[in-house]
Amino acid sequence: MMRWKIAAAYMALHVVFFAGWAAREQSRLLPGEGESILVRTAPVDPRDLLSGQYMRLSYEFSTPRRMKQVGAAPEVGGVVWVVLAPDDEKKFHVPKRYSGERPREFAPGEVVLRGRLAKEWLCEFGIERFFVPEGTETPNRRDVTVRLRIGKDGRPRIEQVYVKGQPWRY
Amino acid sequence: MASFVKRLKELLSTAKAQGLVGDEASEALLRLAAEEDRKRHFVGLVAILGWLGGGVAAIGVSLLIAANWDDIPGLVKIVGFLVLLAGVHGGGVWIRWRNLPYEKTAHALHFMGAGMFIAGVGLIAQVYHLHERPPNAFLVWLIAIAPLAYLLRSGPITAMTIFALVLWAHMEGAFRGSPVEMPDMFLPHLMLEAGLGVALVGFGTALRKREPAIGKTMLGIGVFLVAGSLYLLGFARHWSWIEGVVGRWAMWAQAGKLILPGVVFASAVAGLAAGWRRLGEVSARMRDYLVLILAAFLLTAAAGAALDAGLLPAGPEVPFWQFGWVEHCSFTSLVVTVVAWLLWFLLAVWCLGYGTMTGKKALVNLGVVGVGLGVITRFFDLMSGLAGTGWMFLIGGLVLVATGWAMERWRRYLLAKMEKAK
Repeated sequence: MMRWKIAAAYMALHVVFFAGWAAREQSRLLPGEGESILVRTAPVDPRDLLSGQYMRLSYEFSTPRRMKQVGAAPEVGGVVWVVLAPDDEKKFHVPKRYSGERPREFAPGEVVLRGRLAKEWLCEFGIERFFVPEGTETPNRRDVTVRLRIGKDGRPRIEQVYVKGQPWRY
Repeated sequence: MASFVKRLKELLSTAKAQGLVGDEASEALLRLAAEEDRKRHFVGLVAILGWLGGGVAAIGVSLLIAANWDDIPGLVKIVGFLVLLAGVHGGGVWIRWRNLPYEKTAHALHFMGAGMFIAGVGLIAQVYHLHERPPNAFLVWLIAIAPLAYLLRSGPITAMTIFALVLWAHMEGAFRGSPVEMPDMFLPHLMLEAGLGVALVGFGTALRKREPAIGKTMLGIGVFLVAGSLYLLGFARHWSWIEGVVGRWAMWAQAGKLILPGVVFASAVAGLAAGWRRLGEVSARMRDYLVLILAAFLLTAAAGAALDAGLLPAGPEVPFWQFGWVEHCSFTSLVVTVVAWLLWFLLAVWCLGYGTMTGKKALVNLGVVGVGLGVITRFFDLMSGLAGTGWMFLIGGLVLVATGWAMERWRRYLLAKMEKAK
């Protein structure tokens, strides 16, 4: 009987775990929570066995080639910190510098993202998949931009995807 | 099968003939049985209609949700999932709590709940567009359901836990930058299956009496993994790479590359040690043979992984025929391959021997199937040089027919011998 009571408590923990996780993710997107920035992206549309169809989003700060240009060369699998700064038109955030350590100092308007070097040529931030309904057409890559919400821990989340500057209604 | 009332009637007439029950008691018992049978059939009809109605309603709800899935807000989906998860587990707990006679239903509900966990991970990943580290999804699933398997003493949840473990191990081993990352080659991954199979056979045997549901499931899946990975190891010469050994060595020399195969190897050794006494309890000699075969298999699989890792010298290149053209493999991979073939036949013969000794027909059948499968596979594997002509098909067909005939005769002979021995 004791075993069953422990099992029941453990099952209740499962529910609490999911509720807590969802609450945590929801809180990341609350107004005023973290920094909200707009970035350029290029989509393609594969599928995920667990979660369905998604657009794969590639960002201009995802390519290590640009990292090498600014001198940082992290190990594959290692944590990468990217500082994004507003571009000349103050519309989009673009990569400014990269490092293996969390940067301490920023200029006004700059934000820092935490990611990992997935391959020699690819950096991932956990924002590369945007799940969409089955059968959704992929918009023209030039039309797509993404608003990201950056948490205090540097982890970004997708806040909104825009097509031709308008929130994407798929 | 005859109805309960009919069987009871036969039993009571025998009992009356032997003077065990009188006419009055016999008739009263028959009346009671007939009454209960009528009730049971009535309840059965109600239950069937209930199940049908419930099933149709459930399908209807599922279809409604599926058709409108894209229009349902993310939070509603999550709340719906939480209610469903709590309901499924809660239903199982309630059945147990009230001590209702539906234990299997309770187990089925908990099994559904354990499976729903990974669906929940997928749902939250979908709603919040997350995919930071896919292997973690399976690790969380594994951690969530492994204690349930133990606490509920559930065989099916144990199987699900092993499935989650296998998935996680392969995904984590293949994940770039993981502290336990392995080279993206076949034999190191096969080593995981082999080691896990041996570990499960050992631990499953050790647990079989204390925790029958868990132990038997572990043992069954362990046997399946051992057989599957040994069969695939027989093709090592096809999978193993022969180029770039120096480069691979440099890749593996990085810290952490040997952790996962090392842990699995150590678990397999620990499993064999734990299950040593109970493996083949009837005969100490047969037990020792089995442990030797499993240990040799483990070492051969490890040698295959070490070869692909560049830790073992590949030796000279050896040509072999591959369905019409000449392929090359390393000498060491050929040695691994041939040892795997021998071990396959030894394991099949052990099954036959132990099955005959203990009167376990299933084991005899397994051994016969093993020998037959080994003969047929090796024929096609080794004789593929004849594939340029029609000879392979002609001889292959004859080999298939002859092997099937011989195996069946052998199986019947062994079973008949076992019957006689009884």
